[in-house]
Amino acid sequence: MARVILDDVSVSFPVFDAKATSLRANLIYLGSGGALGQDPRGHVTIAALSGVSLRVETGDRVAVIGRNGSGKSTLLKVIAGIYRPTQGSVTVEGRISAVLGTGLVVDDELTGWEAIEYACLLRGVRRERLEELGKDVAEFTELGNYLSVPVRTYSAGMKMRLRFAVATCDAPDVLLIDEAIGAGDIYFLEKARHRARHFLEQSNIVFLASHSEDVLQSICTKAVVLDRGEIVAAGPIRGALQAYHGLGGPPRNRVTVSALEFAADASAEAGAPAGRPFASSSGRAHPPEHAFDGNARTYWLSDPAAPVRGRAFLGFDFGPGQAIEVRRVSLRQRAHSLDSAGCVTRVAVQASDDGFGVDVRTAETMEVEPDASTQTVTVPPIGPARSWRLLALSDAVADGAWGLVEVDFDSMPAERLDGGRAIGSEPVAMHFPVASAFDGSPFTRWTARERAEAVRGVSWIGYDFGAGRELEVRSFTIRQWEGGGRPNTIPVVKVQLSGDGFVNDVRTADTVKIAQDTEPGSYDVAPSARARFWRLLADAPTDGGHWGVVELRFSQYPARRRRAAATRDAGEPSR
Amino acid sequence: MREARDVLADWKAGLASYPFWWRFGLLDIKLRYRRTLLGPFWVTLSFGVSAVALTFVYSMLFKVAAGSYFAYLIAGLAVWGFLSTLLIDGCTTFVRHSGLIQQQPLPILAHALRSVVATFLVFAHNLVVVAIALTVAGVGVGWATLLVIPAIAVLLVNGVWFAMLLGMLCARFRDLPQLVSVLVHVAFLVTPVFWYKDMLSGRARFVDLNPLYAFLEFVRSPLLGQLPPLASVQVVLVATVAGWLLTFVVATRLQPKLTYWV
Repeated sequence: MARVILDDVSVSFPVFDAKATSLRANLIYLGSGGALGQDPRGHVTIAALSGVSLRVETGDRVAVIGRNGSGKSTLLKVIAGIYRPTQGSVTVEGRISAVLGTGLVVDDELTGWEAIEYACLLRGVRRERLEELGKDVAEFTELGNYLSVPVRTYSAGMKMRLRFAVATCDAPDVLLIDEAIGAGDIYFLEKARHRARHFLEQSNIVFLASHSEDVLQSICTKAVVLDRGEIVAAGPIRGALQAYHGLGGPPRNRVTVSALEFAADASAEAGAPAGRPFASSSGRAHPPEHAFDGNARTYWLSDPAAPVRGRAFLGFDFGPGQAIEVRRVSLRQRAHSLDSAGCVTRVAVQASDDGFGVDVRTAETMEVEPDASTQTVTVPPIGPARSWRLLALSDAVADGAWGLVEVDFDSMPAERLDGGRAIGSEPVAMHFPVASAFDGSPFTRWTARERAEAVRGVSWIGYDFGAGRELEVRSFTIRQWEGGGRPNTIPVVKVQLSGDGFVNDVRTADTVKIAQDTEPGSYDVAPSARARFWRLLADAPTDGGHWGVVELRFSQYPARRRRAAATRDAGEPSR
Repeated sequence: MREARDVLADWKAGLASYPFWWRFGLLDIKLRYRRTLLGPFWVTLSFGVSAVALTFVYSMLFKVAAGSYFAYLIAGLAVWGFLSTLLIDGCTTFVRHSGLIQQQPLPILAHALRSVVATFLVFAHNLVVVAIALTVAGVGVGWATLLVIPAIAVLLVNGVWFAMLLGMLCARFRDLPQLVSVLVHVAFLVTPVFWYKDMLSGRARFVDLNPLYAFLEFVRSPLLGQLPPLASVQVVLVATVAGWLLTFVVATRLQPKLTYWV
């Protein structure tokens, strides 16, 4: 029985000719590829894989999906045994055969026959089978007399045929195929496709890295999605492909969404049947991309081209046997129109075990700001339920409201940290009405109220976590809007800490580059110390008007580690 | 220790994969013949010609008989060629095959074995010429001559650990092959290859300290029908054991990182 087990595997490449010092300031990257870092000796390293855990059994055919540079090839090589993990362990039971590069691994001067013989030898084909398999390969490639001349004379297509035939002549226990460099055309040869399928079905375990989704869907049963060296989703192929498309945000998986429906006012709701389906653009919109990791956290993003009409609810069915108790809901609403007309202002958080037929329980109601930062409400415990929804309670919903909405259900109650307050920002010459959305949890938010708020000079946004409360901030989430299309928004901030409110004690924990005018981004802060006061200091002078609208969220937990913890469960392909 | 077990497992698998390293080592040589007339025999030709030329000049300089000098020289040159190739090619063992190493999972030892096989086969070409030359020069064949085969085998065993150790180090420190190359070239001049050791009166000590001299004598003496000197045998045996132990210790640390360095 073949089996592949990876346990917390990390692979870090040392890069010996890069100057670690010159890269220090740029160690936060903003793109694809593994995270650049430093090892204890100051060498630059590339973290190709971080904390990857997988368990694959006989019969699984696993697709490895991800953007370029996400670690697909590295994952295959580490399973093949070419790389030893810098951390963690890899266990493979069964004979491995790998097709990892682009070329024939044997010399060009060999004739076709010799190339077949030596390539099979390399692949560990046993002596006795060599002749029989060699004939099989020769027949399949249909190269005829070309087999007697050096491979050097072959066209690219002929070489590919040869390579493919050799790779598929002897079914191993574990087959690893990396066609990362554009050999997807292998599967579009009719004969090859047939042979490939037949061959792949004979192998016990297959790992296939590819960008070609048709191929992956037709061959693979499961998939693993990699992003920046970590597994962000794992499970059945369809869900994982969806997750891959939704990449750019937090870990995602598949969830079932109940239809958007009109609903009557909540007060009349109890006992009344659920609202009728409506005919609107939402009705015919495709089901929105959404994600559910089975544990608690889920996101729903409606199609911006398909606004909701009338009063409505957004609901989730967590599936049979998966009742959860939602304890916290974060919601954000963006209005389509500038004057926020017709947005939902109040929602009820409701639970049901029968899809809101007869069983409708209201856990909490919350006020929703149109067009503002994410708001969170803690939901009192009402017990676990299979379906949850947000029901719009207000009348003031007209055409086009609920614009873009993100909803985040969470079964973890918010922890309370009382006494914290925003300590505002600088310079004080410009008045800043700082509305603090501090909900007492370590995840605290600060939102500048008005779009027109401008910053002048070097500025900061700060937090006081309260007397006796000292945190070590390790990650912050910030979103910066350009504020009216003007240039020179803040590109770099210093994360600073202080014991005395930044009077004399000012220490810089880290310097971080932030992206403007995008979705909220989480940035890691290097470990420093615990302190009561923390702030982000704009590291560039601004000139009349910018930090636009900002959301800021500090956390004690570095963004990466949290994500890995959540995805470790997702990495078990038990579903 | 886990690393030690991994290294031993790799070495065991490496030895077991002889279809790979033997056939591919053979292939490396076969390919050198493709599209050429003489192939590796050019090397033999060149060293044969230089042996003749050197004999002509140095037998007069040293005032020795041309025949015996020629035999001594050609045997020495062949063995030295083998030694120096083992050393210099050994350095680049893994770097040369980096494409294969990165694409196909194979035991690390197998690459070293392949490299040594190829070097040995080139030496075998030269040995043919040496055998002919020695016969022509009238060198006696005695019981000692039988020792040639085990002597070469011992040299091969040392070549493998050298290829492993230096191969791993050179993958990381890319200057090392240059250093080794320079040292080998200097060593050629200070080792009794084209001169006799007993021509040095008082300063012979430094020759004895040269391990390459021990290896050289270890094979050259049987070729010339004599037993190798005891000191030479001692050095070679110590080097074999110590070399493998050292390679093992270094491999427990460096072998896992090798694929990251090539």
